Amino acid sequence: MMRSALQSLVRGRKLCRTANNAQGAFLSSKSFSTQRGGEDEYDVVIVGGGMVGAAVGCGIGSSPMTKDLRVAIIDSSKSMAAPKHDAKAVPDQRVSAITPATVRFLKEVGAWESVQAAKPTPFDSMQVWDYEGLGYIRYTADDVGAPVLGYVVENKVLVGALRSRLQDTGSVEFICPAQVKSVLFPSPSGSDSDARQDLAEVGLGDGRRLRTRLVVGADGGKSAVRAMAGFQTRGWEYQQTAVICTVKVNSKHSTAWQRFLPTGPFALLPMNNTYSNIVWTTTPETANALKGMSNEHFVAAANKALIEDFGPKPGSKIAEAIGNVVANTPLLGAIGPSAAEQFQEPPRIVECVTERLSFPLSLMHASMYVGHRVALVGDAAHTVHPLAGQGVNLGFGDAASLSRVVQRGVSIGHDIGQADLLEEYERERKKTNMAMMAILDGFQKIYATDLGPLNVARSAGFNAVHLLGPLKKQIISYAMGVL
Amino acid sequence: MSWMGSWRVALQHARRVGNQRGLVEDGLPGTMISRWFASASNATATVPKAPETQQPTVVVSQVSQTHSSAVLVPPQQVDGTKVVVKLAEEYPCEGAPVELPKKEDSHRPVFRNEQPDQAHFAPRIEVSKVAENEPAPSASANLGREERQVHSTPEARKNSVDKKETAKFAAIAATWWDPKGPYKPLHIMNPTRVSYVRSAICKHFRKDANTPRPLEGLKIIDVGCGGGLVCEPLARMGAELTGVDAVEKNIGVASVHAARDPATASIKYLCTTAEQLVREEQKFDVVLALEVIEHVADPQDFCKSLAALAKKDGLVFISTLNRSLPSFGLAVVAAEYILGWLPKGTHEWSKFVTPEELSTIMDRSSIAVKDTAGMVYNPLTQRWSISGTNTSVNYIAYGVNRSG
Repeated sequence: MMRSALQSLVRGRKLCRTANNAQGAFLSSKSFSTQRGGEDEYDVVIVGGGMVGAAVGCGIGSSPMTKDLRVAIIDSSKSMAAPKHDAKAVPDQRVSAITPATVRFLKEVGAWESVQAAKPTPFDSMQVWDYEGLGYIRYTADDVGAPVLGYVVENKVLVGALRSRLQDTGSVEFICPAQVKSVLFPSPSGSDSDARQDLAEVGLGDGRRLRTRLVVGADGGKSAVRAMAGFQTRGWEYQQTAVICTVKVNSKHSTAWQRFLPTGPFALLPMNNTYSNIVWTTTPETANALKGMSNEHFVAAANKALIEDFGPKPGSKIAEAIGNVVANTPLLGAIGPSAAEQFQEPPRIVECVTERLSFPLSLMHASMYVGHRVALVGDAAHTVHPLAGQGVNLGFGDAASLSRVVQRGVSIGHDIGQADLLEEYERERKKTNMAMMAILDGFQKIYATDLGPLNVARSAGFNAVHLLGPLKKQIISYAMGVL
Repeated sequence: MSWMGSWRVALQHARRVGNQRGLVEDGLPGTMISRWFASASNATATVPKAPETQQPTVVVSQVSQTHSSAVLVPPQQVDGTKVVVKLAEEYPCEGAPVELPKKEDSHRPVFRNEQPDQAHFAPRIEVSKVAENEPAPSASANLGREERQVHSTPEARKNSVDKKETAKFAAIAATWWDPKGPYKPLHIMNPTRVSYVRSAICKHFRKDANTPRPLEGLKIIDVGCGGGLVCEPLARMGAELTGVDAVEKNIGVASVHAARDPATASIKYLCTTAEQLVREEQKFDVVLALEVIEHVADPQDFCKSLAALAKKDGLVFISTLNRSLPSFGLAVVAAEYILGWLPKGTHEWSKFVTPEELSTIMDRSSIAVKDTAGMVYNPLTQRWSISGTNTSVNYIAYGVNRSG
C-alpha cells in the first residue's frame, strides 16, 4: 500500500515535469502552479480515467484557451499507459457504436488518428425489427446523406487513443493507482473570508489532498463524487441483464442488426473480418443460463433469437398493406431513399470466440449534473439502456460540452468551478440526455409488452417510420448524435 | 422583441430589489439597487425629527462631484431638515451603520482589528441642507428622486472595524456574488460586457485573443468597481487591475471576495474617486466606467477625469442606459408606477445619456470614439448579446484617449 502510494506520487511528479517541459514557454502562464506554487493545487481534478474522463482531459487539453490549466486525472488502474492494440487478435467483447458526432469530437481533440489506426468497423445501415414479424425499419446512411452511420470500436481502443493523446500533449497529470477517499466541497459563495476555503478538496487513499477549482466526476454509475456532492438520483432497475460476447458469423456485413424480443432486444454489431459483437438483453435467469451453456448451445440459442424464434420474418403482405395505407396518406411526408429497401436476413452466427460477460441493466439520472466546484459526466450523471449503444455517445457529448463551457469560462475570465458557468453545461446536456433516455426507455417498455393490439400498433408504427422520409431522417439523426 | 426582453429582466430585477426593501435580518441590502439598473440619482431624504426616534439614521449623501456615500446621522443631529442626497451607485444600503468613506491618507480597504480614526470620517461629507420650509418638489420634478431612511439597530452603532466587520463584508460579498441572488441580472449580463471589453482591448493593443491571459502587461482601472464583478474576470485574463469605488463597503466586499481566489488576489482595491487619482497623476492603459455615468452629477467632468486617467492612446470604456422610450418604460413606468416594485421616483430617467450625447461628451474629453454597441437580452437563451444596432436600452462605447 505504502509503496504503491509512493509510486503514484513519484509518477505524478514525473509526469508533471514532462508536462512542464513539453509546454516550455507556456509554463509561466500555467494557471495555478505559478501563482500559488501549491504542489497539490489544480484547476481541474477529473475523478475516473475511463473513456469519458479521458475525453474531458483531452477536450480541455486540446484548446488553446484551456491547455494551460493544471489538470489531474485520478484513476484506480495500475497504469494509465495506452494498452497495446493488436489488429489480428480476437476483438474484445466490450465495444461501443460511436456516432459521427463522437467521431467529430475525437477528431477535434486529436484522438481519432489512433482510433483509425486500430481499424474501427464502419456500419452504413441499421435494421430493427420485432419478433411478431409484422414490422421493420431499415435505414441507411444515404437517408441522411452521410457516408456512414457510425463505427463499432472496442472500448479499449477508445480509452487507449484518448490516453495516449493525453500523454502526447502532456497537458494532464495522471495520478494512479489512487483511490478517492473523500471530496470536500466549499459552500457556494462562501461567507468565509479565508481564500483557501473556496476550493474543493479531493482526499486520496495515501493521504494526499488535492485542492481544485473544479472536480469532474467521471467515475461511473456508482459515482463517489456524485454521492459526496449530495446529488440525488432517480432511476430503476430493468430486471434485465445484458450478455455480451464476440462471435464469428458466416458472412461479412456492415449492418447494425437489432431484433426486439419479448425478453429484450438482441443486437448484432459488425466487427472486422467476420467477427461480430452480440449485446443480448434478457432476463437475469436466461442470462445466467446463456453464460453457462456450451459454445454450440449458445450459438444455436443466439441464432434462434436473432432469426428463427417467434413468427415469420417481416416483409409479409400485412406489413406492406399497413405501410401502404400510411404512406399513401398525404401530410405524412415524402418517402425516404431506403423505403424501397426490403427486409434483409441477418447473417448466421457460427462460433462464440470470447468469454460471455453479463451485467445488470438500470436507468439512472442524477437530479443535478453540476454544483459549486463539481460537474458530473457520463455514467456518473446518467446511465441508459444500452440498446442503441448510446451510453458512450452521451458521455462523449458530455465531455465535449463540458470542455466547451470551461473554455468559454476561461475566455470570459470566469471562475471555472462556479455553478452559474457550469449550469450552461447542465442545460445543454440534460435536454439531450433526458430525451435519449426517454426514447430508449420507451422503446424498451413497448417491446417488453406482449399484448396483441399493441403489437399490431407497434408494427404499424415501425412500417410507417420505415416508409416516411422526414421522420425517419429525424430518428436517424438522433441516433447519430447529430441533434 | 429584444428590448422587451431587457424589460422583462429589468422588471424581474426591480421586483427583487423592491422585495428587499427593509430586509435586514440576513444582511441583505435594504434598498440595493443594481448599478446596471440605473439607480437613483439626486434624491431627497427626510430626516425625522429627533423626538420621533432615538435611533441613528443612515442618510445617503453626496460625497464629491461624482461619488456618493452614506452618512450615519446621530440622533442629536437629526433636526428635520431636508437634505439633498445622492444615492451611491451600487450602494448596498443596510440597516446597520455604515462607516464613512474617504480616508484622505490611505487608499485601501478597512482591515480587521483596525480602529478607524473618527477624524477621518467626517470632513468630506457634504450634506447640502435645504431649508425646512422649502416647498416640496413638484410631482414631475420628484421623478427620479427617492425618499429613503434606514434605521439601524442601537448595538450596531459603534464605529469600530473589527472581525465582525470583515465577516459582514464577507456575508454581503456572498450575497453580491451569488449568481442567483439579487444581482442576478448583472451576473447574467457581465460576461457580455466583459467579452466586449476583452475583444476591444485585444484588437487595440494587438494581443492574441485566443489565449487564456491576453491582457498580461496592461494596467486597467475600473472606476465604480462595486463588488468587483468586472475586475475579477479581467484580472484572470492577466491584467494588472485597480478597482476604485467611493463607497467603503463596496471596497470591503470586493477585497474580501478577490482574496478568496489566488487568480484575483492581486487586484488593488481603493476607496477613492477618479478625481483623486487624477490629482495623484495615476495613468492606466485602459479606463473602465461601466454603468456609472448615469449616476454622476456632471457626466462631462466625469468623462474628462476618465480621460485624464488614461495614458495617451489608452482606451476608455463607458457603458450606461439610453434615454429612450423603452428604458423609460422599463425603469420608470413599469417598475415604479404600474407594478410598484420600486418607489415612485427611484429613477431619474431624464439624467440618462443617449449614445449621441455620450459620443459628444467623449469627444469633448478628447476621446476618439471607436465603437458604440448595444447590449440586448434574449429571454429564450437567457443570454445577453452585443448588438451593433440596438442601443435602445443598454449600450457600451469605447474610444482612444488622444491627449497625452
